Amino acid sequence: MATRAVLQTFERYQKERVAFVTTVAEMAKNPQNIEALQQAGSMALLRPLLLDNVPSIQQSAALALGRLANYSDDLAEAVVQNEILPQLVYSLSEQNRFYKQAAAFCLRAVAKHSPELAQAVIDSGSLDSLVTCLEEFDPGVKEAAAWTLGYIAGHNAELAQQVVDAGAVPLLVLCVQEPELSLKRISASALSDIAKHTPELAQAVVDAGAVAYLAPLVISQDAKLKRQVCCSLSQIAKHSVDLAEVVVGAEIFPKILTCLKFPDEFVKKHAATVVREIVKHTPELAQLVVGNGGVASLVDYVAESSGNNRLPGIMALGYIAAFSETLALSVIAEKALPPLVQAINEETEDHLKSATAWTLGQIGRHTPDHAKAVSDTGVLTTLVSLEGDGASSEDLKTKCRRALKSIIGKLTHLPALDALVHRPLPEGVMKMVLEQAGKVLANDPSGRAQFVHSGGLAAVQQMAEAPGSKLKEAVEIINSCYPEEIVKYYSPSYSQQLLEKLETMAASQTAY
Amino acid sequence: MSTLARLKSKVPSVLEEYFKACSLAESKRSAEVRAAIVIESCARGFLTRRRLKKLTDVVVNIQRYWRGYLGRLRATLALEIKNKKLRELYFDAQASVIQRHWRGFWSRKSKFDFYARKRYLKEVHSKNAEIRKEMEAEAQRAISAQREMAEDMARRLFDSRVGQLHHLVSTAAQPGIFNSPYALATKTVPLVLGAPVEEHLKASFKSQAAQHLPPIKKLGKKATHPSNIYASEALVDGHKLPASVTLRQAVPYDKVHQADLLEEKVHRSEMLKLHPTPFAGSMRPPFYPTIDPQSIRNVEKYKDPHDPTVGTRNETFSAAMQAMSDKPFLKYQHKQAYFNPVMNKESY
Repeated sequence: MATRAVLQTFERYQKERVAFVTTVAEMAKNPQNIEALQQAGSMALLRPLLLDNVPSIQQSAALALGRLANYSDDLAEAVVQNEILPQLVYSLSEQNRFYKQAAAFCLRAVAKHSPELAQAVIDSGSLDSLVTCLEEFDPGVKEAAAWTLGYIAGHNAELAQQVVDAGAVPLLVLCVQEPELSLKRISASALSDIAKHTPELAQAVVDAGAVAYLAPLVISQDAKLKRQVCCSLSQIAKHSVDLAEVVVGAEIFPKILTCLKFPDEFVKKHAATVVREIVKHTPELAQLVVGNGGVASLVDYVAESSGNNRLPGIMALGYIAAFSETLALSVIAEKALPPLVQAINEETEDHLKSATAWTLGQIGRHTPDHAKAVSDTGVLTTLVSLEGDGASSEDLKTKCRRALKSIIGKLTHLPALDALVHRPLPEGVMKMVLEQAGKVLANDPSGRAQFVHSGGLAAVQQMAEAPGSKLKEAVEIINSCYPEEIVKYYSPSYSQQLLEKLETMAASQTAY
Repeated sequence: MSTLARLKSKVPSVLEEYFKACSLAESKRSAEVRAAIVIESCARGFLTRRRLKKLTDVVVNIQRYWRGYLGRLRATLALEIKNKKLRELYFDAQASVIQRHWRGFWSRKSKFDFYARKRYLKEVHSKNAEIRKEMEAEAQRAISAQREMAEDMARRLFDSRVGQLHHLVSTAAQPGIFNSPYALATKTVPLVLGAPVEEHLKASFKSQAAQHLPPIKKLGKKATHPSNIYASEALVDGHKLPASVTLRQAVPYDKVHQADLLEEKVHRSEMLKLHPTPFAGSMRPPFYPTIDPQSIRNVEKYKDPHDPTVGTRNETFSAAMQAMSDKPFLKYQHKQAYFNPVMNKESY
């Protein structure tokens, strides 16, 4: 009987504990309650419940702590300061799978806020236990552990190196092969977080054979999985030529080009990023992409998307066109110029405009045909106005200037140069235009007459007459192509000179 | 004598004639001499000329032959030169052709090949068109797959919700909640997937009930007669046997064992279906989580407080037999009997 009474007390206490911890866990879901919970001192009360005998209380306590830490980094700091982490880590290796999931969730909630907190999580010895969790049979535990490792490694290179040193990468690669979709997603995102920092880390990921398992997942129909896989492939490929070749060797083309038309916009963006990271290294890789029909998909993508999503597509086109004139010609042949011109006219952000300006410069800089194709779209005036605009950033101005220089330097189409001469251009640009006009006129007799008829010669003379102009030498070269009378006829000061001559003549006559 | 006289008579006349002749001759002698000289010179001239002409003719002939020879020599030389020139012109023309071809080839090979680039651009264009078509198809597939998934999820959600609904369906007298007379009057009965909600409720209840209960079959009197229930012959493993043979003999003796083996095969194939690709080895030694490790619960032998025989009998099992084997839960125990020493001793 006495034992019965004793047992009853303990049972009631246990019921209360269970009720308390489940209520706190439910309340912690609501962000409005969290301040009150923190003030009430829930952290200190939940900590001993982590050591409770009853497994469900432990789980709910870990869950509640995780939700609290998830809310803000102050609470996460509080979790670290209350020395809850070592306890979590210790029980992570011993308890059942629900507790492991809850403990891993709590560690993840702490580690995600800042690198210092992630370092604190590592310092409490969690890496080994998390890596052990990755070998568990239950997919929920593996998911939670992989998520935590991904958050830790995502902050900076040192943390990622510590994660790799703990031996997580081969196990994450094993997780990618599991049939559960959410586990695949999380491990792909963890691998991308590891590989994104330095080439050595990316090499470590590749050495574990990740690419061979990630590449076939590109064709899955699940949007989130495709996002993560494309993201990880792009993080691997961006560092060096060898890594890009490894990624290409896993036969992602042309499958990844079909991702550029997937209904989800982030999938499209990440797929374009993969293409960009591969294309930027060598001309052979660019040719491979072009040979697989990459230009068409990129052009369609740039035409359909807007804002920041366009950026990788535009840059990929620029990288392709930069390598050789044949590739630039293939870019032009696929009608890439209209969407690029539309982008540079309509986009509001400066970095997008400078990327587009750079791309246009790379397309137009090879031969006169390329320059003519670019100038026929009428984009040179936009570039000039962007360069002269005070509101543009330095980077945008530099890129516009370089693009103009490279395009005009190859432009031999006289009507286009003519049109430019009539516009109010800044001096540096006008100098380029005039120099180019001089070179073209020297070789083109029929064009000279046209130049005169369209009023170009008159405009050029006026420019030379302007005080303090550095354009005189360029103008003189142009003048040397024409007979003197025509030059004099069109120069504005000639009429003045004639009048002055008349006056001196009249003065000398009256002298007599 | 007469002749002589005659002759002598004639002598003076003769002499005179002679003298006359001589003086005539003499008077004409210079003229005749000159004439004779003239005639002789003419004759000499004529003869010399005739001789010279012959010589000239001969010489001219010789010269003719010589000149012909020289001319032929020159002609052959000139012909050779002309032929050489013709040949040179011909070879020049051929060389130009070769050089033209060579320059074209070398320029295409080392500097720039226009037609190769044209062909390349055409190929790229066709490949781009192909890719565009594929991408369209993929996009359509993806959209339809997403739509299907969304529809599937919505249907499953609806089914689960309908299965949990506790509302009563309408009876003959009383309409249920989902069958309001107002809706019937205004013909606004809500339809889901073409059927009113009540149909779904009934269907989900039927499917739930079918999981727990077998279908009730109503058999008539004839069907329940023993001669119809118990057949006189049975087909056993391809052989027709009289039904009086017992069930035990109608079934092969290791049928249970065979059924277990089949179950194991199915289990293994199911695992293979889930994990078709071989795993890459991990770098750590494999971690086998032990089932039910030693803890305070199973170190000590269980002493049942309600069993009066505890503590009264001797130990019939040795300590070794009572020890937990490290593989306590075996699925196919009769296969392990050969290898497990505990079981070999037939301690069970």
